Formats: sequence, structure tokens, C-alpha cells
Amino acid sequence: MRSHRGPPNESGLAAAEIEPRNQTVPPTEKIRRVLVVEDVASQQKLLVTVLKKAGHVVASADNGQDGIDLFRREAFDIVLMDVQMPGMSGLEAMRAIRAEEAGTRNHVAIVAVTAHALAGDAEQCLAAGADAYLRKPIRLAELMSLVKRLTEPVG
Amino acid sequence: MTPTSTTARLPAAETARAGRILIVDDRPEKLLALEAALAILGREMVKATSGREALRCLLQHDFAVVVLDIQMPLMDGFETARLIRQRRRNADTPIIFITSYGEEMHALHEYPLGPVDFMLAPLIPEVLCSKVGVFLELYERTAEVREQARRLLLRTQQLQGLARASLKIHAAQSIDDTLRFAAEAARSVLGSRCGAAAVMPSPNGLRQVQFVVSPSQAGAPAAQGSLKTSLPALVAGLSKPARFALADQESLSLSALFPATLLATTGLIAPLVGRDGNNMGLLVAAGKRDGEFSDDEESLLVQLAQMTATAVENTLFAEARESNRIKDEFLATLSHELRTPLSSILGWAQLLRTQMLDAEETAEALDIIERNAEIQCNLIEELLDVSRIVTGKIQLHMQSVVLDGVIRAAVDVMRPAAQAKQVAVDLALSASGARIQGDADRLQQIFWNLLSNAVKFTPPGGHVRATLEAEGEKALVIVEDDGEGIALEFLPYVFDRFRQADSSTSRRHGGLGIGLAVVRHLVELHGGAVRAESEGRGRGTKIIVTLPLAQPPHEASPDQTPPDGSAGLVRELQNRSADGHAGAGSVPKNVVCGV
Repeated sequence: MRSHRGPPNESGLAAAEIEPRNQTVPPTEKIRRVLVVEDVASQQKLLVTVLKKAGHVVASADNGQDGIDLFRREAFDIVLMDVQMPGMSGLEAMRAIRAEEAGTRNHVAIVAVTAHALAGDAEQCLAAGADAYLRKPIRLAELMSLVKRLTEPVG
Repeated sequence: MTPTSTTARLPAAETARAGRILIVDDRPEKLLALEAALAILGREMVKATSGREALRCLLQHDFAVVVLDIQMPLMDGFETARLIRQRRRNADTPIIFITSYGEEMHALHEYPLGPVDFMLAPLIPEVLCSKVGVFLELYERTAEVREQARRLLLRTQQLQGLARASLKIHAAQSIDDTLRFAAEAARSVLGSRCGAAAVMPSPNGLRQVQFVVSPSQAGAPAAQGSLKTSLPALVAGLSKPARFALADQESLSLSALFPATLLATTGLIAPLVGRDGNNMGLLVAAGKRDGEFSDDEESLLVQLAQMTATAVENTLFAEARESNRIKDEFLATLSHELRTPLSSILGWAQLLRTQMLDAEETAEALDIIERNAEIQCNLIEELLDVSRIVTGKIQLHMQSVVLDGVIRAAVDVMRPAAQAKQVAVDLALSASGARIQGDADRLQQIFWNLLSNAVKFTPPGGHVRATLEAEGEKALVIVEDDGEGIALEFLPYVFDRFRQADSSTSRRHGGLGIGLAVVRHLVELHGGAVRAESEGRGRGTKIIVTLPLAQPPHEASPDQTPPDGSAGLVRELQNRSADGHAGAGSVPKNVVCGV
């Protein structure tokens, strides 16, 4: 059971819905280091913008390989990974990340983001190493609560 | 003399194998006596009054036995026998010598005469009949054994042929091939001059196909557009194999399948019975090479028909499975392609609502929303086109169109995207002013699709080139690029609906995979054809569109049918598909091959 800190009217983007208020950094939100891997420019920019507005530190990559290169160089709390990308797909990139972590105590949170919506897609993502699964079109509130939930220490 | 005892010894002559008797004597009264004595055997007798005449008879017929008088003028029996033996065919023909003088028997030693017997006159008819009867029986049994051996060999060959045909029929990749192989087998295995196979349209996805395989010397290709509407009725009513006289089949329209030279012959027909017990088609063999079709051959045709029906059903199932797989893949792609822009639209709209974006970001958000909505519009437009194609509801507004204008317009639409990707687009419109009858918007859609495909699959720094040439009565529009090319194994499918070379999660290019299918359909609606050429992956692609040029007004006649009518047939087919009967055409395919 996770406690909801702060009064509800101050939860901003992390709340169940996005308040139409001009608010740059919700005070109760912890700053996270987020890696966005997404090949579609407008989609990448959307994720980067919304996360930055929420006060997070965001890095982005256009494909799986660049994503892994970034992941090796920098430390991240969470990775948002598009599934279908040219070159190295998100599934392959997630497997590569989990392979890197094997034998260590590290486990970065990965959210698979996919426009595939057919049966079996979620299973495929989870099998590749994703902790959660977001289906496009993305609801921003859902995204923010997922980021929050996955990066909070348990208990 | 009671010859009755001889009747029991020989069975009644079977006409096919009954042996003949040659009787040779120079004296007519003795010939008559011999004939009377042998009549009881019930075999055909031929009489000769000299050695020379006997030899002539042997040239004309086969004989089971020769009864030969020794004492004859000019050429005696021994000399005649020697000459008979010189012919290889008669080296073993039994000869019974007849003489009045026993000492002549010694002369036999001087002649290497083969199987002979010897009888002293006066003859006892029973003894003569008995001796002749033995030879007749030997001859007839031998003939029977030979005939059985011949039949066995034929049967063996036919069964081997059936086995070979079975392999071929079951390995066939398409229903067309299955039927072609079945028709070929009906001809070759059954020893007939013509084979035909047909299936009728059915709800389980079968379209009408027929193949006629006939010897090339039988003249013109059999059956131009021959199948009348009564053939489906014939197929439906055919419950078991049947024999028919080709000439009687006019009303059933079967005869129209075959060359006129076969009209006097008979045929065998067997239904292709599906798993549900319904007839889906028929298999025919017509014009037996020699004799009539045997019961064995009838059962061979039935077996051929059974394996053909099984193979057709297997192919149908495989096609249905494959088309389901392609549709599933398409649905996944469609879902992906629709969700991607939707995600941007919805996400940016939500972000706008938070009022956290500054003026610049707001402008960009609106830009992105608009662009992605536009992308979705195009997708939906493309989908609707496919739906119109499937239901046959594309309407062309035909008018006289200047081709190079249409191509130029398509290039203009395409140029910004090409420039953004640093792909050069060249134009070489040599046949400027060339006109065709067509729908200007749809023509532009054709070239825009081809050009955008070319730009999409060409990396930055690459080239796309559009060429227009006139070739005879056709306009040739070629769109080529030095981009990714097409894998050779995918080349046959590029114009198929919903097919994409790469539908994996790591594919480089978006899109529904229906652009080229739309192109092909639109080109065909214009009476043209389109084909793709590529030397393989990474070697560029060349798409060639041919369209019939409009006749100059002063020469044009309202309804010009080409002399051979074949182009007319093609146009007819295209009109049909334009009317929404694509694939259901009842126009037959004919394959004519030599024997």
C-alpha cells in the first residue's frame, strides 16, 4: 500500500488527472532521471515535454541501439521504451538492458510503450523485461502515475 | 464319320483371339473335303490352291496352323514350307503336311522346318481335327497370354502414371496448377487425346477455372470462351462417372471444350467430389487413342478425380489460412498505424489543456496535432480506397487526360517531402502531349503513390526518376529509384493487398501496405498493366505502368475490337472487375500443349 503524500490539490501531473493549471514543478514530486526511447519525433517530444514539465530529468533516443548506448553511459530511474522502431526494436533493447543487469542487483524500471494492441503484445513486452505496459494513445495521467509508482521504493 | 467328338475339345471361338486355318491343296475337291472335316472347329478357314497363293495369304493374315498338301505342281509342299519359314513372322507357324506316300516323310530331314506334323491320306477327320485343334489351342492360349501381358503392362504403366500424377497434383501450389496437372494426367494416363478439368465458383472461395489440354495438331486453341452457363448445372447433376459421345454434348456445352476433330469420339467424365459430398467440378478425358475406354480406365479417372478434389480442397484451405494470416497481420499494422498519430494528437491535446506550454510550444503542439490528424486522414482515405476496391465501388470519371500534366502534378505534390529527405526527383517526359482516356484524379493518385513509395524507400542522397514514353499504342510510365529495392522472393507479391515485405517490430517504414495494391487496381481499371522490377535488396526498384493511349480523334471509331479478340477479352475482364466481379470471371483459361 503506497501512501499518497501531500494534499490532493497539489498533486499536479502525478494525480489521476491533469489539472488545467499552470504548474511547472509539483512540489511533492520527486525528481527522476527518465530515458525516453521513441522513433516518432512528435511522440518523443510529447513524452520529453510532459516529463520535463513535471520536473524530471529527461534524455531521449531515436532507436533501441542509441537507447542502450545512453543507458550504459548514464544512470536512469526509469525507461520509457517504444516497441516498434527501425533497426533495434524496443523488445530487443529491453532484453539487452536486462542482460546488462544480469548478475547485478540493478533493476531499472521499464515501461513498454506500444501502438500494437493485439492479444499477446503485452505478454511479449513483459517477457522481454518490461515492468509495465502502456498502450498508445497514451493517457498522460496514466503515464505520470506509472512513473511515480514504478520509481517509488516499495513500502 | 461323326465329328461331334471334336466339338467338346475346343471352346467356342472368341472372336478377338480365334486362330485362322490355312488349307493348301492344288485339287479343289480335296480342299472342300478338308474344309468340311475342319468346319466342326468353328474357325475361319482360308483356302489356297498353290504354294504361291498360300504365301500371299500368309502375307495378309496371321494363321494358327497351315494344312499343306505335299504333292503340288510348280511348287511342292516342302518348297512352300521352306519359303514360309523364311519369313520371320511365320518361323514358328505350325504346318501339318498331308501326303499319300509315307516314304516322303524321309524328305523332311532335308528341311529345317520347325514345328511340323505329318498325316497320311486318306485322312481320318477326327484325327485331323484333333491335330489342328491342338495347334489352334496353343495359338489361342499364346495370344491370350500375350494379351494379358499387354494389359498388365498397360495397367502398370497407368498406375505408375497415376502415382506420378498424384505427386504432381498434390505438390501443386495453386488451384490453376492442380487443374492443369489433372487435365494433363487425364490425357496422358488414360491414353486419350484431350483432357479437361474444371471447378465451379463456390461459396468456399472457389472461382471458376478450367483447363483443357489437347494435342497441338488438333488445331486452334480449344474452346475460346466456351463454357456456357449449363456447365455448372452439369457439374451439379453429375453423381457418378459417365461415358458420353462428344457429339451429343452440345446441349451440355462439354463438346465446346474440345477441338472439333474429337467430335466423333467418346469421352469419360468424373465429378470432383468435395469433402462435403458436393460436386465442385469435373474431370474429362476425351478421344481415346485406340479402342474404347475400359472399366479400369474409368476407375483410374475416378481416382484421378478424387485426388484432384482433395488437392483443390487442400489448396483452398491453405489459401484461406494464408489470407487469414495476412489479414491478421494487416489488422495489427492498421491498429499500429492508426494509434501512432492518435497518440500524438491526444497527448498534445492533453498537454495543451494543462496550460503549461508557452506560446512557442503551443504553436508547435497545434502543428503536431494538425499534421498527425492529416496523416490519419490519409490513412483512412487509403483504407476507404481498399474498401471500394474490394466491393468494386470505385467510379472513374473518364475524360481525355494529358499524361505528362498528371505526372507533373503528382511530382509537385511529392517534391517537398523528397526535398526534406534529400532525395532528387528527375522527370523525363518524352511523350509530352500523349493523351489517354482516364480519371485525372485517380491517375494522379497512381503516380503520387508510386513516387511517394519511391521516395520512402530511397535513402537521403538517392534519386527518383519518372519517365514517360510512347510505345506503339501504349504509354509507358516508369518510376524508378536507386533505393532499397525489393527482395526477389517478395517481388511476386508487391501488388497484393495487405502485403508488406517487413511487418516486424523493427521495420523501418510505416504504412498500411496497400498503396501498390491500389495502384494496380486503378491501373487495371484504366485498361493498363503494372509490373515491378528489382534486382534485389539494395539495388533499386523500377515500376512500369503501361496505359492504352487514346486514339487520335479522326481515326477513332467508337468500338474498336482487335482482330483476334484477345485484347477485347482482357478489356472485358477489366470491365468486369470494374463492375465488382473481380475474380469471379467465367472466362476460361486454356492451355494447349503438344503431345
